[in-house]
Amino acid sequence: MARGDKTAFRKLYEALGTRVYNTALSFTKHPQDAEDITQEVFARVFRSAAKFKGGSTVATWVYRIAVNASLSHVERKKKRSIFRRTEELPDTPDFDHPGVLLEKKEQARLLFKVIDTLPPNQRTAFILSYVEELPRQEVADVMELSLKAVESLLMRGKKNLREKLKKMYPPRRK
Amino acid sequence: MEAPEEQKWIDDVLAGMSGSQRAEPPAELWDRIEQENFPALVARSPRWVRWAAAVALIALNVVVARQFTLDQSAAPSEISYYAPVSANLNYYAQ
Repeated sequence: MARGDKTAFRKLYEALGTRVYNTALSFTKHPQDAEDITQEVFARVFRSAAKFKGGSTVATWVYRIAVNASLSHVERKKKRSIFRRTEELPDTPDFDHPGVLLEKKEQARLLFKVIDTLPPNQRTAFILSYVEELPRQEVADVMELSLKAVESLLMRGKKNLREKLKKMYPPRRK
Repeated sequence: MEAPEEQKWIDDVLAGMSGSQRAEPPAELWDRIEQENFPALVARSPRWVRWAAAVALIALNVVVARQFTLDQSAAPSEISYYAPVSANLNYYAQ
């Protein structure tokens, strides 16, 4: 792929495209933004394939690029909305993840709402562990942290989420 | 301390994404990525065709230039060229 082989690049997209798209979707909660981020991630992967030293697996490396691109995108969007704010903005619209089980739709919607309130590192650890369902060691590799540090982030993240959810209990019935 | 019902509800929300499937990116996303990273190559003709075209163009220019020079030397002077015309413009002569 470092030599610009299109077939190899296509294979990489087939293997990781869906994962990159889903990671971006979990961060942005917006399909169009997730598409743009996926495109950006693969452009970066293509440009820097020659620089990839193999210190981690290709999947870990691509995930890392996807997480960084997603976080930057969310940050940029947040800044833009602050500049544009003239009056109180309405609440973020509810996000329905297309792959969620029907009976968990309401829980998933709430989960995405509260995930947004976490600091970026806790949010990343939580999304990679509980949404992308990556093994803890891979989460640690993507985030370039120790396993212990990831577990600590997850513990703090879950504690924060529990506190936020406690304030939302009892849930509104529709 | 959370009540058991509340605790269960929170646990359920935190596990809201467990067992879910991955969302599929749209099929045309690959086309966009492909277009960005592998822009279509401009079709190029073989080298000999380009050389032949260049030689033909130069030859054509030489022929046109020679023809132009010949025409210039054969062209009548301005006076002799317009004289018969002005002579025939004697409209008021009856």
